[in-house]
Amino acid sequence: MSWIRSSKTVAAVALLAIALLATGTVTAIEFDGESPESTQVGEEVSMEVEITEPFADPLPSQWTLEGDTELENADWTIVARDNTDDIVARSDTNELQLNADDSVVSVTVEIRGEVPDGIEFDYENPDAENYKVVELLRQTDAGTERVVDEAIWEAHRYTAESQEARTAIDEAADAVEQANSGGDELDNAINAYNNANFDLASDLADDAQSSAEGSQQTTQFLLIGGALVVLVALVGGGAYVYKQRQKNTNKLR
Amino acid sequence: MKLAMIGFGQAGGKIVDRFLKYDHRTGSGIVRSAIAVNTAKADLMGLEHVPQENRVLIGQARVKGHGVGADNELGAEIAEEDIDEVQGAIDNIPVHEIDAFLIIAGLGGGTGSGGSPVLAKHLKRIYTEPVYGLGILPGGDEGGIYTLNAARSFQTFVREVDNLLVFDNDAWRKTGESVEGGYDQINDEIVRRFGVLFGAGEVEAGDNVAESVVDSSEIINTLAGGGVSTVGYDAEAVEEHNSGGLLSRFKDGGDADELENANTTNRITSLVRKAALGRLTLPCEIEGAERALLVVSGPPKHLNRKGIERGRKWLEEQTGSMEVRGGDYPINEPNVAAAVLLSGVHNVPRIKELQQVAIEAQENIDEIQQESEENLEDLVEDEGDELDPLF
Ligand SMILES: Nc1nc2c(ncn2[C@@H]2O[C@H](COP(=O)(O)OP(=O)(O)OP(=O)(O)O)[C@@H](O)[C@H]2O)c(=O)[nH]1
Ligand SMILES: [Mg+2]
Repeated sequence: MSWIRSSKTVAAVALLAIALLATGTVTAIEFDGESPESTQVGEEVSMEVEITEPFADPLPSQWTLEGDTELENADWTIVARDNTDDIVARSDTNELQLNADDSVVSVTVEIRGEVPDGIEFDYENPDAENYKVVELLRQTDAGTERVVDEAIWEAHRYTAESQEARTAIDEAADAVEQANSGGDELDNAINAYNNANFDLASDLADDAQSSAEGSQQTTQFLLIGGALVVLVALVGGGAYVYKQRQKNTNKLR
Repeated sequence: MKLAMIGFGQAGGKIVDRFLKYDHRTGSGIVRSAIAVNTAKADLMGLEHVPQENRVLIGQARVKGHGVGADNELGAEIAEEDIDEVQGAIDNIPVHEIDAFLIIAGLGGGTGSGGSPVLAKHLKRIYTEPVYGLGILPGGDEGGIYTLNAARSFQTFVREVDNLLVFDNDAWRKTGESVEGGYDQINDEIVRRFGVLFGAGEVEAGDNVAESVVDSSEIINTLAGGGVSTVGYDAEAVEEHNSGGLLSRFKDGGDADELENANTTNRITSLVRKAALGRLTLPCEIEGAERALLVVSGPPKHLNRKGIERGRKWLEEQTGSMEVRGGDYPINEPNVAAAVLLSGVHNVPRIKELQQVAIEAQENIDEIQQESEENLEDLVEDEGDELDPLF
């Protein structure tokens, strides 16, 4: 389950350097930016990316930077500075023309907007629930393309209901893992979550948890009593019930 | 689509219970609220999934929790007298979250048969949400009184609901099976059919789906206009992994894709035919059905628009209806299914037969009653009427 937790700290620092191995020199465009934390749909978030070496090979000495986002009502500020930190160009739209003749050495892109709805819920793959915070593109004659592959930042989002259901499933998953029981209910809870039926998902997660905890308690009690024979019978019976239950979670046949 | 289900009587309660189980098992989420109403305490206690507080015992003053013994006039009377108790449970339903009410009952018994039309009438007066019925017809071997009950309840129930979905036990009865075991299987069939149909409207936006997905309003529009409905269904297993794998290694991808696509289309059209021409929940002539809805369900890569469109066209030809809707219901499991809802069917020999048998039963009952009164008179009265009664 470690990936669940890591998804919450997805907002890792993205410091990307595309080194040009052929020349061995340090001429590479660099980005310094941090995706926002996982946020509820509708809330306002902001992020900033700083670009350095904007004309490093293979970029031309003049190009137009364009930002793209899935944030709603996005506000952009793009500022280009020279090596004395003076602003040489600035834009309040998602576009700015960069010119090496202006001695531009760094560009900051700031974006602010509301986390968009339209989540494709996927419990086991939270990345599928992400939205695009910002993508940096370069306009060319042929159209626009991402400046470099890595120039995109995503962040996780949720709704109040989905978060509640996810937490319930997280908790149930821990209990199920420990007790090695309740897996069926857990699968159904995940299924319901993925179908955006969050009330049902929370209920089923609770079922999974109590079924797991119930079996945990029973096991401990029996161990204390040393009633191993009963335990064997129970495990056998449990396996049977589990098998019976596991038989079919299909809707169609 | 989200439903508030109310099971009336034993059969109704058991089927609602089964719907809840299906919801839990598959994560479908079609039952927003579930209520069971009965005059028999034991029937309510036998349920497994309906929450305790949603089990409503009515008619206690009159039948002491023992059921009405297939007297559906008494069932209707009790429902009318105790409608407030049923409403008490319905008050806990978040009605703004449901798309419709569904009242489920066996029409051959007493409680559900008599009570469900009364409840339908009541709900329609209070709420703007559609009120649908799911009526279960008795098996042909159940005897005259059940048939008579069903025929009378059917007439009234159709009149009171926005649409009556019908399931005929007689068409689904298997010989040589214990009644109880038989009902278990039959109830599974009922729940699967209506589960897929109503579940189709439950795919949420953003669930990775195309625009062709069926939504609740299409189900509601197909049922709008009233009358009697029946459902056809067929499913088959498909491989989860692309069967085109080997082919595509030899041919270029395009050909294999095309072949795969043609297979998908053919599978869907053949499932649609089998669903509509196979055993319906209420067997009838599909020609003349006023409206229809086709739902094709399965893994997205086994669904295609062309197959659904062809199936839909074919249904148009077969029914002669200009109002045939169609769409998909993407699901991740290795099966593909077609569910066909035929609404406003008219040519239903089974109903005519039911009514015929009911009329005969009614006449028999009157005759027997007449006779038995005469016989009793014969027995009690002495020959020359010489004895005087005590008082
Ligand atoms: N499909 C199906 N039909 C059933 C089931 N149980 C009973 N029936 C049918 O329902 C009819 C009897 O109705 P019940 O629901 O048992 O009767 P009730 O409404 O409880 O009324 P009383 O028992 O007379 O108070 C019979 O004609 C049976 O055919 C069931 O589990 N599944
Ligand atoms: Mg009964």
